[in-house]
Amino acid sequence: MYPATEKFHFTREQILDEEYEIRAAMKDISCFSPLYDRYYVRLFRYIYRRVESEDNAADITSQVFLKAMLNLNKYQFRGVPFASWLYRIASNEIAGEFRSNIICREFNTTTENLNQFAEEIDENANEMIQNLQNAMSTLSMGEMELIELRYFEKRSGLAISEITGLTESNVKVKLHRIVQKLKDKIKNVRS
Amino acid sequence: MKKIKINIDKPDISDEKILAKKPSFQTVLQNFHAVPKPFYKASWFSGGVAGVTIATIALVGYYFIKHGNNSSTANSNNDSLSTKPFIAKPFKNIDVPYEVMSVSSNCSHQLITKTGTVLRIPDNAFVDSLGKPVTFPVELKYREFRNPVDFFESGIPMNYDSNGVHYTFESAGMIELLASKDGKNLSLAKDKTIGVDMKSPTEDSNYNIYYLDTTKRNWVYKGKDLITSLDEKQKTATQNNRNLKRDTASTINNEPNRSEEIRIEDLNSATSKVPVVPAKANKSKYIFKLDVDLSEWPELNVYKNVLFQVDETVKKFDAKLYTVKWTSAKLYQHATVGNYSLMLSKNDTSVFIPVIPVFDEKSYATAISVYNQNISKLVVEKQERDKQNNLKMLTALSSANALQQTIELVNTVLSSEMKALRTFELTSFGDWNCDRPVPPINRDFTITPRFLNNADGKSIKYENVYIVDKNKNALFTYNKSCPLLCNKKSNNILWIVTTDNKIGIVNSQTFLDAVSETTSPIFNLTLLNNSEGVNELKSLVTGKNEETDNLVTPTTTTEAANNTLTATAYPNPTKDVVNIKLQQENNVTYTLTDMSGKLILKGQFYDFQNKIDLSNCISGVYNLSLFTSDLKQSKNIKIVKE
Repeated sequence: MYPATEKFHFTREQILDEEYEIRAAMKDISCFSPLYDRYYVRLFRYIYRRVESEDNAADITSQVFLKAMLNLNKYQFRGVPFASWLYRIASNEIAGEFRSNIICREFNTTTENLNQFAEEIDENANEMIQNLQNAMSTLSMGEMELIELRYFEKRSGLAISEITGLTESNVKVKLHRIVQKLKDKIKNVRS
Repeated sequence: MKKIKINIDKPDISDEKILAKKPSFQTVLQNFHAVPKPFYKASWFSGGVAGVTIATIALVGYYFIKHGNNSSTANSNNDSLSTKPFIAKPFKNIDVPYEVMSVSSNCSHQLITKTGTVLRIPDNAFVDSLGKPVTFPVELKYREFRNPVDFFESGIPMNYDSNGVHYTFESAGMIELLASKDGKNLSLAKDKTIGVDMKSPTEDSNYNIYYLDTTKRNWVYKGKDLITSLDEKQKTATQNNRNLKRDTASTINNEPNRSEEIRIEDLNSATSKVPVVPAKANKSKYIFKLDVDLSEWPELNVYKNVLFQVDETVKKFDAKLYTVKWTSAKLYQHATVGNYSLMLSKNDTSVFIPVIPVFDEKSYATAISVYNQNISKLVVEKQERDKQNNLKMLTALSSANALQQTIELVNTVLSSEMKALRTFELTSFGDWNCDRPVPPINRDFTITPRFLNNADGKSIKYENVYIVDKNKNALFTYNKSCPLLCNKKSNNILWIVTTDNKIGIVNSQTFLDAVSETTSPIFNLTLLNNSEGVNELKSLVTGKNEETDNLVTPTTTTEAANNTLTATAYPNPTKDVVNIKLQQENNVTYTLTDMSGKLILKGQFYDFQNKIDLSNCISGVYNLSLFTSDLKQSKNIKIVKE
């Protein structure tokens, strides 16, 4: 599997360069193409991990870019990579499609990431992978999304806060509670 | 709830496979242009709305003139918020004064106002309501709003509605620019913008530019401004001055020189454009040789063998890009970003590089001669134009000199207060504001004040309460029915405007004393007539006259010491019932509020000995306010419920 983890801590220069490109694109939308080329593959993978088929992923990716271009003037420079904004649009788009029953929402992870997550919850990880999966399937969509961003894709708190729109501390609190919930559920199954 | 599906180790998809599905940017661009714009964003609509609005205003105005007496009574009956004008001046006779300037000719102008703001007006900037260019002279009216009292006088709403959330603006400077000809309002021509260099007391970059849209009744976000520290600006001002002097002497140096750019821009005319000053290529820098059609760029088209050197001052250049074989290149010009930008692309990637046009050593000499030829040709053209406009030019120059002197004077006066220069562009006439919405943090103290007239002791009828926080350049306006929010710790000045157009002011010390005791303070005010009151406010808010600040204190006192009601509450802390013992007065009204100001109980005491049952309340501290029926005496008691 392609590594989901991305470098989030861009250098200041990289962000400034990007800002230059975005400002140019705000003035003339045909200058958006460097951004489009740079982020297409990344965004496609982000969406592909969340939806079932490649075709759906391609459709949604196009929609996300179209929305980004239409709303580019609303983009605000906050010193974080442009990608976060795209991911946020993508998340909303996927949620919308899921709600209207167009797509089936998937959560993808690697065995390695899942094992690591399991270890975080319980020391006897190997025995409880199946239990964990059962417990996770009872979580709400929003809770699963946070698990996905944090443990399956290994994003930092800051990155998650930019994508979800929650504050960084809220993300941490929520994750802590979700993990606690899973622990309780697994304990119940055992007893 | 839908079941969640968790996949483990989903097969990966290769880059090639993704790229095969990737639509080309051209298709995306086509889709982008195919998306219909919402009707209210279309240009015909805004034009139409403007027309309809003007027509409506004209009709309503006509109606008012004709049926003046009837309509005024009708209006007073129907006094709801929506029928009020959006910009509602509190007093008819008081307003922030305009500075009137006259634009004499149809060339580009640089006007400097008394406050030191520079307005750069392009040529052919003014059109009438039908969109036709107007004949000159044109009258410009300009004013600035610097402090909360200015906002108050002008009646310009400083509230901002964003997605249903109400904010109050903190301003770093607000200006109003209007243009008129023979009493008729003019508008700004399409695609023309007026550049503004406004002095601002703060260098903070988190202020945005907003335009007051009187039809939508809200401020419209217009982007960011460019901030220059004022020290730098003074250097450029002297440079401008130097250029101006050279211009009057009409000596033109043939040596290409960067500092002459401002003067050379004057040579631009509708038919010909000044060529770019040739620069020598730097061999240590990355250079692109392009086969570009330069007909789009008249300032470059006069040259042959133009090379493009990467401008690394704007954006860092990745050396790897230089080794890629690009299939297409496109040139862009962005006045505010950099000189030129080059977009290189091949099948699936493209990059954006800032460049400057340069020449290698061989063609540099020819380029210089081409440049000089062009310049001298343009100079001749300009001199002819000058002859035609000789008189106009002379007056413009003398006024420009005078204005230059003014700006220097203003610079020295204002330099202590003004720290930065904010540059932005107006796309229409009206009110433009450099603001940030005030975050609601710290403004967490709710008060419900009452105002009594010092003269007769009766309560005052008023519409709005205004609060100024001295640390912020913002005016908070509250309707009489709303509770007021304020930051208890900062320096607040509060005032009201009575229904008979008088002002009652509570100065910061009185305010602080009052709110530290209770959440529902009673202020005894001496009412001032409106012009006195506004002067008083100016000295209080801008803090320029400390003496008056002290003088006002005795006229607006609360009843803290003199008229305290004698009352005791016991047991305190209590578990269920509190006894309230009054000494001299029966018929006392009481209110019980919790610490957030929420009303819990309200009622009247008729006896000397009274009881309040707190058994239903949760434990905590409560505030009991007692006041007599004539409201002359009051007392606040803190009651602790265990």
